[in-house]
Amino acid sequence: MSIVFIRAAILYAAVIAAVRLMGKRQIGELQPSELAITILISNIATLPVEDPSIPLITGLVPIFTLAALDVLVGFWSLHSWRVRRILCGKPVIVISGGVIDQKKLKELRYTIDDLMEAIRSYGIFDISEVQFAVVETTGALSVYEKTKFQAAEKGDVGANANPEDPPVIIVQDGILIPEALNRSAISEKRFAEILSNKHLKTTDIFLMSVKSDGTFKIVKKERQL
Amino acid sequence: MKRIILCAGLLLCICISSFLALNMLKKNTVYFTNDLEDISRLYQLERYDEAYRKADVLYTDWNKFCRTASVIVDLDRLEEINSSFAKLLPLIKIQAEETESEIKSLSKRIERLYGAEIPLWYNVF
Repeated sequence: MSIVFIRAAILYAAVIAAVRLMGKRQIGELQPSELAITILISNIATLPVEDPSIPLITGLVPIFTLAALDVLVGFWSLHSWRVRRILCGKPVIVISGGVIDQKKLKELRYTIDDLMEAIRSYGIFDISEVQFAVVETTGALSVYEKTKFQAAEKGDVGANANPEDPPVIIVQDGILIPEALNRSAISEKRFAEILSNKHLKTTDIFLMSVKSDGTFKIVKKERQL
Repeated sequence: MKRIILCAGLLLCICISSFLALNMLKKNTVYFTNDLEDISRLYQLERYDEAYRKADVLYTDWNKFCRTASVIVDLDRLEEINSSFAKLLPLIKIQAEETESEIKSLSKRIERLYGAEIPLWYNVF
């Protein structure tokens, strides 16, 4: 069992090192340590399942070792900038002031196709519109457009820019959600009034959402044929 | 913070239970190898009946230990020892030539059971 424990710890470090070595291109959305855990746990879990001669405990010990190590290392990296750098790396600026840093792209093994693909995912098709782009530690690209290409926002055109919460769904598939009703802009009494005015029961409603100004939208349930 | 404490506790539990499991293996393997040595000695002194009785008791003890050990040790390794144990009794009964070598091989296998679980570098890698 102690062998399994040590092996799991060694594998954890080895997979993180391998993922860090592979670089950001391989990661996608997960942090290197998260990816290491995902790869290891998914493989380890299958071993005792596939081979009944392997005791279950040799599957459980490494899984819990890895999970616990991940939490502890995560906690450590929260408090240490150095550990965070070692485990996750650092974001790399690939476009600064509208100029592509080709050296950095090479270092990251990012081709121009990769860069363009990532930029297009932001709805930008012309690289000259990009002021600043960063390859994050997860491998994802963050893009900041040049000011003249940025879409005008409500504040820019002087329109009503008061902060507004999104609509709250208070009835879902004929079931009233009391917590949502409490959070919404209408009271229980008002809700009952709305229902009686519309000659509806809660069970007749498929969806009811309430905006922060008290306006609401009701989608009735379709009658079953 | 609760999660950190839980995880630290979990690692501690794993370390402690690993140590206890290793200790349990050591205690039992020492018991079995010592008894096998006794059986070998009795056999050499041609006290075959005594050797047979001792081997029979040891085999019963082994079967009990096997159930516990199967939680931490690979079943294949236990099966190997099991079949070797099963062979030993008839070999003693017929006073076969290979009895002593079988006892030695059995003893080595049992020693290896513990030896393979010690967290030394050659076992880890």
